[in-house]
Amino acid sequence: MSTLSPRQEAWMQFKANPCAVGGLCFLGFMMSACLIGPFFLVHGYAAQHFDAVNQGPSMRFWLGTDALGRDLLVRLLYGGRISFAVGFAATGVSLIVGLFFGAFAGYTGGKVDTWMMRFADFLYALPFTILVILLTVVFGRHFILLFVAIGAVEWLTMARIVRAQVLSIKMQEFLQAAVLLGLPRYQIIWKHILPNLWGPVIVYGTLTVPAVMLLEATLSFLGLGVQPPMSSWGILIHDGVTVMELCPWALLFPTLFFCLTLLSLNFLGEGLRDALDPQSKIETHAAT
Amino acid sequence: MLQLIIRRLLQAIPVLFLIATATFFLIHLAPGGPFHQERPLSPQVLEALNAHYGLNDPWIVQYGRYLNHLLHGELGPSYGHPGHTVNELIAQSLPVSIELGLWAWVFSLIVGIPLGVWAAEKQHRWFDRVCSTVSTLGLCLPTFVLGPLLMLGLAVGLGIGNVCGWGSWEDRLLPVLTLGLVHAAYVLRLTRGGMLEVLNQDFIRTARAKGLSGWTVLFKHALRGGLLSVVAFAGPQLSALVTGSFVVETIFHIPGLGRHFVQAAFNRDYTLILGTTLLYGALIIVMNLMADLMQAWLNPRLRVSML
Amino acid sequence: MTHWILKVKLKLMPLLDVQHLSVSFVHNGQRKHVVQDLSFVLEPGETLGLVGESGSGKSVSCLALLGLLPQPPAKVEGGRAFFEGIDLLQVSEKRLGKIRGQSMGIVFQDPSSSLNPYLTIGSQLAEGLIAHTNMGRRAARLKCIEALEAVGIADAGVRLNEYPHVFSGGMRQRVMIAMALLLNPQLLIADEPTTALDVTVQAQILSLLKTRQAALGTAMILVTHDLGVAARMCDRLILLRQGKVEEAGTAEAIFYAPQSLYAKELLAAVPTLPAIV
Repeated sequence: MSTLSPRQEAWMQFKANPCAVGGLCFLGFMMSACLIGPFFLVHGYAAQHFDAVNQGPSMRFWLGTDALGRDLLVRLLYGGRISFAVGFAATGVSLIVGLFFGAFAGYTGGKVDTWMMRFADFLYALPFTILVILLTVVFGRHFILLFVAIGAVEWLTMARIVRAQVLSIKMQEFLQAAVLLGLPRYQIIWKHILPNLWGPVIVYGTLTVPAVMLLEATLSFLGLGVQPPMSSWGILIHDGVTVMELCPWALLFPTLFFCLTLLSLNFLGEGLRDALDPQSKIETHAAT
Repeated sequence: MLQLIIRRLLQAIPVLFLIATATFFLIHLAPGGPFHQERPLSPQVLEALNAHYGLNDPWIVQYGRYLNHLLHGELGPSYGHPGHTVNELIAQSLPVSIELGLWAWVFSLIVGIPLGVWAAEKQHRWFDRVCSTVSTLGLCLPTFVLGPLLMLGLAVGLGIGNVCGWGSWEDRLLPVLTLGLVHAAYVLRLTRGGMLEVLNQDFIRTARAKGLSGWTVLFKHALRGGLLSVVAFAGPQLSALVTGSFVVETIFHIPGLGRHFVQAAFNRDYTLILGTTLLYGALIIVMNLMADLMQAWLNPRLRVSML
Repeated sequence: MTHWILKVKLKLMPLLDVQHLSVSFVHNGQRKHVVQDLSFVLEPGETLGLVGESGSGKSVSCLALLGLLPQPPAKVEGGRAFFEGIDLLQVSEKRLGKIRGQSMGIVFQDPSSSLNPYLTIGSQLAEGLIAHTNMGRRAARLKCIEALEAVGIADAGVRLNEYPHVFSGGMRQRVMIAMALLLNPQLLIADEPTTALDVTVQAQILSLLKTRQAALGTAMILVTHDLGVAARMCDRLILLRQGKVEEAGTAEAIFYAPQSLYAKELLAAVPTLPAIV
């Protein structure tokens, strides 16, 4: 066997994991459907068809309609856009904040590190979801503010993981060698520390997306997230619950879309973890 | 050990103070007052209400007054529930949330731990595969999906359990299942992971070399180490269950603290939000402390470093 | 009558008779033979050294005899191993457990991980006794104190209640030896017992093994990669390389008149002190 670079080896290992590859394919399909699907469908997401209220799946409405006569498929795809947008944007926020906070604390070390981590510990003691709800109360229920709020809460674990990684890299001999060689600080950070951070960051980032989407859906379900007439998977599930005895498909389809997406994201994250960061202890998130 | 408990409880005081301060100012930053409703009240009524609750005073005065009340254990009157104090509301609803959370907690541990141990023992066999797949699925089934599905399947379909209220045991069945199942999946994964890690260690080989039976090896030697991560998780989990039951309480119309909290968030019921947030913070601190003590009991190496 | 014949037969039989043992491992879908056609005989009270570099299959063969190999990925391909007339490779797991605890003792390489960190030394020592004899807790405790004192641990009564993490590496290995010899087994397997220890402690542990072995009349299989240790401890040696027997014979024969090329190379590689005086 010829020798492979670590990246190639990770890719080989990832490819060998059917769950992860399946998750990646499903996500690709789902995201492109949400992105371009609505352009090909005749119904608008707010258009009401009073001749077809609470209808089951048919040729005209592939997944049926809701209590206001709106096409469920279009609403699901639009809702998917929101869910993905919130998921990725909030993860991005948490990634950036967590990366800088954790890397700075870990690299600086000493008193600064101690106080920064004590601050993070303090935030940890706060009731998580409750904080997000508080933030939505304060900043109103606009969905852009929503992902800022979620991102602002989710960065804590990211910061911890990055800090631990930076600390362990700092202890290693190749870094001490780089310092002894008198390399400038930015070069040490850029060339020696950052490349070693990507593994855990990518893995944890992937696992944060479903957690964020879950939080968004929970808030929307409670009516504290995305506001009607805009749709989101959380709202659609909530609407489905109100009519579930009458037309169960209104609950089943959003549930299916949502859960399959979360499942694929989790599979993808776990596959990436096994491939990129095999020794890590990063676990998937507990659901709310 | 006592020293540790006292130290941790003393540390909790500034944390709670900070939570109180932060939430107080956050909420007062928010646009719209507690009496800012869809159908506006007449200016006179609004003025009278604001004056009655002292909302016209400067923030700093309101803050001082709130802290003073807090020191006396008073959380103030509820704006959203006229005639009730926050203390009363919490006294009514907290036991309900605690009971729900405890049942769900017990359920998740009773189901999750044995299945996790057994799955680890049977690694790579079909039982393990089924458990792992189902638990991964369970992680992706949030409570607000599982609750309605259980309602649809069990209550509507089979006639088991009730879909709302909190009186008889039939009322409790579905909420507890909803809340407990997701966490049971998580406990199962943690148990399995922890057990697998321990079962691969040298001292398990030593125990087997002594000719001990499989059960003794599993329960006496492996379980303790294997459950460490579960215990580390179980404390915060209990607080997460007690404080995180607002979705389930909303779905099943249970008169618990979480439902009050969600409604308070809708109604801008400042004092109730402050009170519940503080209480949640305190609950989390106490339960994390309990989890740490439990871990120390299980792991002798930690016992030394903690004291 | 038959009983008498059996006794004579047992007397005539060696303690352990291993014939054509082969073990393989599956790694990345490929089967790899790590022990091939290993045969040896061990008489009561004798010391046999299994010597070889790392990966030569010496530890694996011992674990296979004890039935402690994780299967899969490991697989015993064939062979027989008669211990007092019972084939260790065929016997049921339950029976093997009984034999393992009562008639065989084992000391592993790394004392820092071979003791359960969550249980006291006392309970780990006593559990084997309680499981295999009908000894009560009190009697077991006395016996454990005796065993710890025999391996040179002072204050044994107090130390029984302590956890492994307060013991030093050498002390832990003493505990492991006490544990392995607690039931006076006929066979002791020492799998690189001194590799993880300091040089000064190594010597102490080796001489402790030797005195305890002499006192109890136990046969011993010593697995080591250290030719010096092997020379000092063993009556006979088996030299393993990549799972195959390279040379076997008495320690003197191998040291003074090595036959195989590998043995010669190995002996030449042992550093010698230049004669200064």
